[in-house]
Amino acid sequence: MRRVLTIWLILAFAVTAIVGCQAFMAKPKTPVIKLNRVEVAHYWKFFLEPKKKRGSTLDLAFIFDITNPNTYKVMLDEFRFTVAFEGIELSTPIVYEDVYIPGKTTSQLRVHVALDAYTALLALLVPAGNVQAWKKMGTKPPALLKKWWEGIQDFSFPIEVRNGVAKFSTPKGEIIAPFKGVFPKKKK
Amino acid sequence: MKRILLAIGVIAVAFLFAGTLWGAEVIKVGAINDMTGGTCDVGKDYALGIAEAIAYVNDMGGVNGKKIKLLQFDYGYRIPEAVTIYKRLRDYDKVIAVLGWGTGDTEALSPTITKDKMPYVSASYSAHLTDPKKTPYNFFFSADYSTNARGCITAWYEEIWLKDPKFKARRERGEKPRFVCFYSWPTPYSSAPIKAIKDQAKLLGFEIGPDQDVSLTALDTKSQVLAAKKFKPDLVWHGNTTMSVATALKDSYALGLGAWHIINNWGFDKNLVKLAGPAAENAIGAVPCAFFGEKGPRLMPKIVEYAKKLNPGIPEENRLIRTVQAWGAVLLLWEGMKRADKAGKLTGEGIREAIETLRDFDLGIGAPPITFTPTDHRPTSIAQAYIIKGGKFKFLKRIDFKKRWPDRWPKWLGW
Repeated sequence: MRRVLTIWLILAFAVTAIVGCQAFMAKPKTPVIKLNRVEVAHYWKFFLEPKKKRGSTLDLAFIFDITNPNTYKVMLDEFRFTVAFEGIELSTPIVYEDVYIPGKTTSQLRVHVALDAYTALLALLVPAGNVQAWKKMGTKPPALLKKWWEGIQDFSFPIEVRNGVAKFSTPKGEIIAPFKGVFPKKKK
Repeated sequence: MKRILLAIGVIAVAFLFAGTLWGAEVIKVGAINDMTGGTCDVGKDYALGIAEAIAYVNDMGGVNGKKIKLLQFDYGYRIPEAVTIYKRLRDYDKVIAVLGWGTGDTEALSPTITKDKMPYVSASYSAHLTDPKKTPYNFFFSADYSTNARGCITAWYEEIWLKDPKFKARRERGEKPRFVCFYSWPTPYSSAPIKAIKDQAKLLGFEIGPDQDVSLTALDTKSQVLAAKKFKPDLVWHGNTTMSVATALKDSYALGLGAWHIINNWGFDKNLVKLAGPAAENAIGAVPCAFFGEKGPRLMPKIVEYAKKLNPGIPEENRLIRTVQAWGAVLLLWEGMKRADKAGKLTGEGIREAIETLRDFDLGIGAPPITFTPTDHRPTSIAQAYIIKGGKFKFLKRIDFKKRWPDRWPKWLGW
């Protein structure tokens, strides 16, 4: 009995030492984040009433593939990105849920982004870059919002994920992984 | 033998757990920012600056060895959403302090944060938040909006009205300079310093014309400019953010208003020059700290370094003074937390007491030194006015109101 216990402990020690050393010695590899797809999670017919400061809501779900190239698990600590429709920035979601990604695996993360037409209108009217963008398109904000709200069911315009930054905690410290993506993907 | 086995066992278990014990002790700090709403033209850059400054603080050892975990949320400048986020931060995340944003949400949350003893360091520099009898847990690092507004109108009066030969004949005839205000009436940020600037205008002997209501999202201000033109103003104060101010400057230029312009700090940055072009020439604005990348301030190289490191996708030339202002908020809170922790009282109350021990403290970002006391939360009595010349920001005047009007300064607390 004692011999079995000794062997078991030595084995456990050896395995943990190897895994531990590997974890502490090697520089961690940066996880790879890819935008898998965008889904319309919930949909309401378009309306916009600027005087009443309200408009219809659009609930989008962004699904990301997160690949951990390391042999050990990493923890996703923070995940932020900016959503842009046709190059116009509308929202910057940030999530803080702790998600552990086992070594050498790909996990999926779903991030919901609720846009409302009135706040989107403000986003079109305030930042200089956005104003220049819709002026260049030769349109007006309410018309552009209507086009987006109606066109999103068929994804008739590009939805871009930009300035994406994910922070991971690992036994070797923090890793920052930048990412970006477009949906639907351009047809080659 | 048993001891050896036990020792091996302990080491093995320690190794197993070593991989999961990644983080040191953490302190949670919340941030409520506007990245998509009515003030996102300045709010986005500020939000980036908050995250970058916290990263710097953690790299500098955090709060005496304790790391700060930042929980940052976009509320789209919707006050009810800011209140909801605050409750989440307080009840679920159990943050120790909050880095807030606008005047509307900061003033709306003020009674709640007072009850919760939650230090709230905001980007709202409303003077309404400076009287500790009413708002003991509200802090910010800059001269308040009222001091800034008083500073701009005084700087224009002393440097332009009294010195410009163009006004010589009118001065000699004993004429009063004429003044109007352009701002969004229902927006708490825009209207916060109105009482103070009109008080200063009266003090300096201005004639005050009718206010013009200009929305934060205004793309056309011709009707307001034409209405103001009937009064023939010499000076216009703008209380909105950059995009709206740029529209008003362009329309004033196009319609020949012929007035000088003074601007509150959230409407005065390099985007104003980009958007308004020649219409921004000679505009005077309140400047709370150094501009992004400006040489001189001790921490500027770090501010630029962390912007590049954490947000490499955003070109340096697109970064604004808002980043530096965000650093000001974070550095103020950091100093308070370090002092509170050292005193063994890292709580809301302890942080408040610690901040109230700051005397002529230099944040290292080109801002006037700050002082807080248990009876006065105005960080400084110094207003800095800059003027746009040839598309560049030039220093115009620095006014210390406590020195200039020592009898009035105590009475100006809280408005």
